[in-house]
Amino acid sequence: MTAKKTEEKKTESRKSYKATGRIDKRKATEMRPMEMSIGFLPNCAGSARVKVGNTIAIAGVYGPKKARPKHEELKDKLLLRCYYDLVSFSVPDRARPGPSRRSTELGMVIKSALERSIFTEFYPRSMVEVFIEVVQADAGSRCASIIAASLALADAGIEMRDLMPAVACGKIDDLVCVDLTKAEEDYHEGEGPTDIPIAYLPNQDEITLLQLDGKISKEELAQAIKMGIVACKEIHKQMKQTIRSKYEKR
Amino acid sequence: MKVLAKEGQILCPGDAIASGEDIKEIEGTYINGNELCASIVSKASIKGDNIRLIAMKGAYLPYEGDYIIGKIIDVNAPNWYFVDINCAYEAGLNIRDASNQYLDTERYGMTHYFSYGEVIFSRIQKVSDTMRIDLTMKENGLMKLNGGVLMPFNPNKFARILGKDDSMINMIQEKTNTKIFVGMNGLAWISGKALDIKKAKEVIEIIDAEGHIEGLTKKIEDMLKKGEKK
Repeated sequence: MTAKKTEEKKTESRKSYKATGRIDKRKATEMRPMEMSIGFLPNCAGSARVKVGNTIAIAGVYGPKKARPKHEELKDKLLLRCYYDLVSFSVPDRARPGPSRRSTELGMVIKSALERSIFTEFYPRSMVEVFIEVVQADAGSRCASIIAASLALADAGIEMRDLMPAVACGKIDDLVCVDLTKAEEDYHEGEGPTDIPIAYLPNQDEITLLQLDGKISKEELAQAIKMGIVACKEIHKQMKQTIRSKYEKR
Repeated sequence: MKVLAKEGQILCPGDAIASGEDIKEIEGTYINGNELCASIVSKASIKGDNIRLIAMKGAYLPYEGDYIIGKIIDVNAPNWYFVDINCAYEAGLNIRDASNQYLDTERYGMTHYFSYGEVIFSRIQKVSDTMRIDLTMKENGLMKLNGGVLMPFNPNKFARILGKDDSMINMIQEKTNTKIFVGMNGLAWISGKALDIKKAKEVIEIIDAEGHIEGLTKKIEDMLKKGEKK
C-alpha cells in the first residue's frame, strides 16, 4: 500500500471533532465556569479579577488624572491607555517579562474596544490608565482581560454606556463552539482551529471587537458570531451581578 | 414617563431607569433611544417621578460654584497661583481674585501671601469647556487653612458627610472637639489635638465606606457617644 493510500484511509477512519465531542466534554454553546470580583486592590481607583476556566486576568484602573506626557493630551476627550501583560509564570514556557509585540498589539486592541463603552468626551485633557496582568493563561486571555478591564472601569466610577462582555468563539475541525481552551486551540487535525474573539455591547447591540485567526466559511462565521453574542449576554448578566453583590451584601 | 428602576436599587452602567418620551437626562445617566440609562455604578433614589442617582464611586469633576479645598503647588507664573484640587485638572488662582484687599506682590513677592504646600478653602469661579479652572477667594468664609490635616474621601459622599442642614459635620465637630472644613472635591481639613483628629478621621472613613446604607446617623451617634470605633 502506498503512503498516499494510507493517509487517505487514516482520514476516512478519523472521527470528526463534532462526532467525538469537545475535549473537556462541554457542549458547543457551553462556557467554562466563570468567577468575578471587584475592588480588591486598595491603591487603584477601580480593580477587578476575572477567572474563566483556568485563565485568570487582573485589571487595575488609575485615573482620571493629568495626561502625561503633555503633548499626548487630547483637548476634547479622555486619553485611554491599556497595558496588557502576561506574567512570566502564566504559561507553561516562561514568558519573557516586559512589553512584547503581542502585548503591545493586545493593549491597543483592548483599548479600542473599551473606548467605545466610555463617555470619553466627559473627561477632556485627562488620562485613564488600565493595567491588565494575566496571571494564568489557558486561551481566551484577551477576552478575560476585556471583562476585567470593563468591570474595573465601572468600579472606578468612570461614566460608561454599558459593561462590556467578551468571549472567544471559534471553529475546531468541523464544530463551531464558544470559549475555546488552549488544548482546543492546539487541535490541528481535520480543518484545524479557528479563533474568533468577540466583544459586545449588549445595550447598544454593537460588536466592538472581532478578530479572526484561521479559516472559516461565511455561514459558519455568522453562526459563530451569533453564538458569541448569546454567550456575551450571559456574561453581561454575571458582570452586573458581581457589581450588585459588592454593594448589596454590606 | 414609566419608572423602571426600584427605590434603593444598585444600578450598573447601562441599566434602564425610566422609559418614555418625556425623559430628561440627569447626572449619572444618558439617553439611549427612549430609555434613560445609568452611566455609573449608583444607588437609585426614586420619589414618584423624581429620580436621583447616588454615585458609589468616581473622581471629582469640577463645576462652577463648588466649594473646594486645594493645595498650592506652583507660584512661579506671574500673578498666578496653581492649585491641586484633587482632580485631573489643575486650578488657577489669580492674584486679583486671591483677596478682597490689594495684595502688593511687587513689594512682598507672591509667596508672601500663599506659598508652596499651603492649603486654601476656595470657590470655583469658572470652568471652561476644556476644563481650565479659575478659583476665587473673594467671599466671606473663604480663607487660607493653617495647620491641620488633609484627608481624602469619596467626593460622592460629600452630602452624607455634611448631613441634613450640616447636622452630621456639626455633630462630629462638637463630639470630637475639632474644626473641620469639607470640600466638594473630596478633601477634608481637620484641625485639633492629635487624638481628636484621629477620631474625626475614623468617623469620616466610616461615612465614606457605608454612606449608602440607611441608619448611618444612628451608628455614628452611638460611636461618638461611646468614643470608640464599632
